[in-house]
Amino acid sequence: MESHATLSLALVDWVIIVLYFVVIIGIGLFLKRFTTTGEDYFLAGRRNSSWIAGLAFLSANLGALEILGWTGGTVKYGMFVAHFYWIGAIPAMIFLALYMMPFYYSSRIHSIPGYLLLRFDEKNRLLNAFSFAVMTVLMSGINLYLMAIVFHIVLGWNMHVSIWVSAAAVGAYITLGGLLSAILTEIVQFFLIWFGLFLIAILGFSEVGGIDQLLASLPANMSALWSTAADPTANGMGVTWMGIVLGLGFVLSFGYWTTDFLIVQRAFSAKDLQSARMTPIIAAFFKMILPFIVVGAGLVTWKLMNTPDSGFALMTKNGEPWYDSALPMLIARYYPPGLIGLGITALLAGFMAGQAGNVSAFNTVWTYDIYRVIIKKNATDEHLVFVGRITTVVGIFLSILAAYWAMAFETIMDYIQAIFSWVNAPLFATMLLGMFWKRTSSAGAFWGLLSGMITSFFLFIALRFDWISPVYVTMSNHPSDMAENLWRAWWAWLVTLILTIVISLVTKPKAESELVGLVKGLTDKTVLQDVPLWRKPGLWAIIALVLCAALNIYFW
Amino acid sequence: MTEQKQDKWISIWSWVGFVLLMYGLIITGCGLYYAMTELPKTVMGESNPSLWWGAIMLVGGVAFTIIGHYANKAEQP
Repeated sequence: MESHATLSLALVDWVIIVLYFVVIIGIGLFLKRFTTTGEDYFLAGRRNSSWIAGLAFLSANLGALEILGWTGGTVKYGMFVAHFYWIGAIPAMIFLALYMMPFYYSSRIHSIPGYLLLRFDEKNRLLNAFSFAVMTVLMSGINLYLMAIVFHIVLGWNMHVSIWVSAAAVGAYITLGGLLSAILTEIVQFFLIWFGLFLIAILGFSEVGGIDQLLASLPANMSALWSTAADPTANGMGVTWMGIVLGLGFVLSFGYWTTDFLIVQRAFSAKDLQSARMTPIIAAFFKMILPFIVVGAGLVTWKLMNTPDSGFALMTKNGEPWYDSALPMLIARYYPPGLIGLGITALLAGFMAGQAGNVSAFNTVWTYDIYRVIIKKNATDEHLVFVGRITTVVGIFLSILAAYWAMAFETIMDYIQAIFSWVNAPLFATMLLGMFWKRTSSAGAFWGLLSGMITSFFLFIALRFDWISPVYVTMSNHPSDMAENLWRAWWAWLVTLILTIVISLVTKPKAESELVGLVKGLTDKTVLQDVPLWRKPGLWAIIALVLCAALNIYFW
Repeated sequence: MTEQKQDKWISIWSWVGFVLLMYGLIITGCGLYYAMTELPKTVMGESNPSLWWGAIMLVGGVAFTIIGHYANKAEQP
């Protein structure tokens, strides 16, 4: 791929970047002495405060993949991208905190597949474990690949060097310190991302005259959040409010935030149930602010592109505008040497956080839900930590392979959202029924989950090869790729839900005595009696939801 | 986490404070250099964002170092 290096790094920028690698590997080396047991290595010792777990929870999601992708996505789709941060995240995070965390945390599971074993049986656990393991390796590899692409095109870096150096650094600190390393470096990366990239939005808004002035100057299909959602042709995403609410706000959002182990693992590291419940709530407040960086930068980009004398243009890739270059081009526009290094380090930190998160989730699921179940049932804790370290190294190599595979087949990028909807959307239906309906049987859960995954995959192929008209799936004749993703997730979820219910009604469920602590109605009601009102998760959840609603109304 | 705590734990907030101080110093240093020589020719460069953003990072670094200090004290037996 041709490089059109647009940013050149001064010595001070290189110093900033090198110092970042020194710090994160230093953190890994420091933490090695504190990670000797399985609980240390895979669950960070279950000792984190809600603030640490909360910031890590968000940081695990806040990869550069998302930042670059959604800034570029805003240039294409407009304000609708904010839906992914508001309705597409906040309600699900609150639901996780208030209703699902008691089951997750109290059952002392190491992973989501671990919950499926307790609630259902081994085959449910293994189905999810294998599909999740494959997903995390692919996502880690895609992070590596995208990072290499971005830095090659923008900075002229050699792609192979980018892949191997980044993989080696992540491999080093995760192998040394496990989840604790991943979490603590994610917190550092969280602040780097904010301090490295928030300034772009501030300078961009200043240049175009402020947020209100910017929104007033944009066409409705770029600036409206809900008012153009009645008609798919009136908005940049080609989707109706029904697709946003059902596909994104419910299925994809809940499926991701409540069942994706990479994210939920951070909440498991909290020191007690109170902290675990506050974890997603704290993350929700910061999540709400993110559109001011990501969507704001994207709207500024669109404005500058359509202002003739601005001197701003996106880079091109294969002759087409490369939307993912929006953020790097804004860095080149506003940042002098020094700040350039900080901005590049923020992007590097984001990519590496995404990679580290996937690798640490992979090594936990592989070690506890596959290796210990199938290969060595009587493994000691010490042995499992050793296997965890080896698995990290193997996971890194598999990620590198996946990165090279993505390099060979560029269209693999099209499969990212498809991967999420294969695994997370159907799983959400399974978890919902498992946690809230004691009649859900193991057979119902397994066949429902498998059917949902197959449905999602089938719809993806059918739409790609025009086997069926998109109007039957998306209610629109010309849906965008994003609209297809949202609707496909909805149908996969619905198939899983219906089949799980039907099959459960004709098969035998587990005895109630085996479901205590795993299902609502058979679990002691959580009462936080000794906590003052200002510390109750419910209070902060209400505040978060009210703020989210207010933002939606303000930017209607 | 193991109970054997011979090694002194350093709170994550101390690490955050260290990183913000380190980078804040570098960025503020750049800003001072630009102020004394020539302002960068970037868009909005006349406001010398390195100087005031670096200062904000320094303030953040000091704040987190103080938070980390108290967190470290709380960790000690």
